[in-house]
Amino acid sequence: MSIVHDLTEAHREEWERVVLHPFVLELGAGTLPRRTFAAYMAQDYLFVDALARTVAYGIAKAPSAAEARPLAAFLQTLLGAEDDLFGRVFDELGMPPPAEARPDPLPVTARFGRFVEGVGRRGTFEEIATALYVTEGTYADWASRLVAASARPDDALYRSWIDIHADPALAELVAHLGGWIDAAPPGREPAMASVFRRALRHEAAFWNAFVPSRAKMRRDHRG
Amino acid sequence: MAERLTERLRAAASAVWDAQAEHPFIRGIGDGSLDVERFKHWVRQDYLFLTDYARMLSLASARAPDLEAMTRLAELAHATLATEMSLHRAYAEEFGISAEELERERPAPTCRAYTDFLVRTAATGSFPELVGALLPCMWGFSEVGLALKRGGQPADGRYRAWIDMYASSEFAALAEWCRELLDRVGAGLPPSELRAVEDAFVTSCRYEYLFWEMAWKLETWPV
Repeated sequence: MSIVHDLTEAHREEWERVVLHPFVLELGAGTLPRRTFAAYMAQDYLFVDALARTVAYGIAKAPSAAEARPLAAFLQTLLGAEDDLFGRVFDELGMPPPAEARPDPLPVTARFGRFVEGVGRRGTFEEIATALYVTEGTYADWASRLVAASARPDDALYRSWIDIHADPALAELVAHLGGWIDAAPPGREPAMASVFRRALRHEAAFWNAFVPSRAKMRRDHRG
Repeated sequence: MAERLTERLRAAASAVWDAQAEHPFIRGIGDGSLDVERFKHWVRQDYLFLTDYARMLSLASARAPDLEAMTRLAELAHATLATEMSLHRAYAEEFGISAEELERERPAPTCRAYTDFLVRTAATGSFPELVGALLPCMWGFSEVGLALKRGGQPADGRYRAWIDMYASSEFAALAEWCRELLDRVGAGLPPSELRAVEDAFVTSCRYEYLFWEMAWKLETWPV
């Protein structure tokens, strides 16, 4: 009996659509236009602010130091190494430094950010773990699948973005998150399932804002 | 230049700081006369304190007004959970307190009251109030360490190590950073909000004093 296994299987189709999104495939193949990547990075930078605050709430709500420690290490990475990478990417893309640029969030970014931070502020530790399982688990999954498929785009920026998410440290965090979800007190499953489903939808909507999914293109055609 | 906000707060709590400097626990570390059982009680309770202190630092990070403060507070939470707690475990071992014994320890009334106050202020107070509650621990330990260092060296190497840790320039820099943060976020606050900041600051100073008292009296729950 594993709650996280059941949640993932119950949402398998949506999960696969996120990790095999055309954005990801084009990133891996190196065919993603840099303009699209730049627009995505600018928005993702804004999202990471909300994500980092959510992780911080997770540390504050951790049952004990044993759970708080890996989250604190992850938060360090988010605000340290990943923030540095954002700086380098912005620089190489000819964009002003993230702290100066302050682009307006797209509606999709604002909604996603409000969602995760809301889970952080109001949710239980297990709900926070569930939201992070989706945001980090999908990223670790798509990146490690690209690496496993030997997708090495020529663009060094794209490779860095893949590598930082294919890092074993992220997979380790995701394993911790799954363990905490499974250790949830009985009766918490419905609330966790709701967070899981909504987080996954936000992830899909976020990719769609930059590269429309095939399903969305079909719907738009018919519409 | 106008007087620093933190200087005014320090003056408002001067009676508490004077009492702290004169406390038999502090004097006992300084001259080496402190009964080891009282010190061991402090070590065990402070270990528990650190877990909740990390919760407070994480809430502070989640609520920080800018990336710089957010990052620094996240680093402190991580340093508390990883470095400082493991130093404490090593230190406890020198006093014959095992890791299991540390994990088994339950918070004494004062430890419970202080950490509850800190986490409550971090969760429901304004950000400047939160920093007001946070500062006395860093600043107070730095002052106590420096004052003891100036007063000479106790014969017991374990007490000397304790003094050296808190008298270090790193610890003083940490206290100064937190002071600057409060000077900055507290600038231009209306009087009613400043009173709330002062109240949080003085309350934490009192709890700092009570924490020594708790260790000195080997405080436990009476019922």
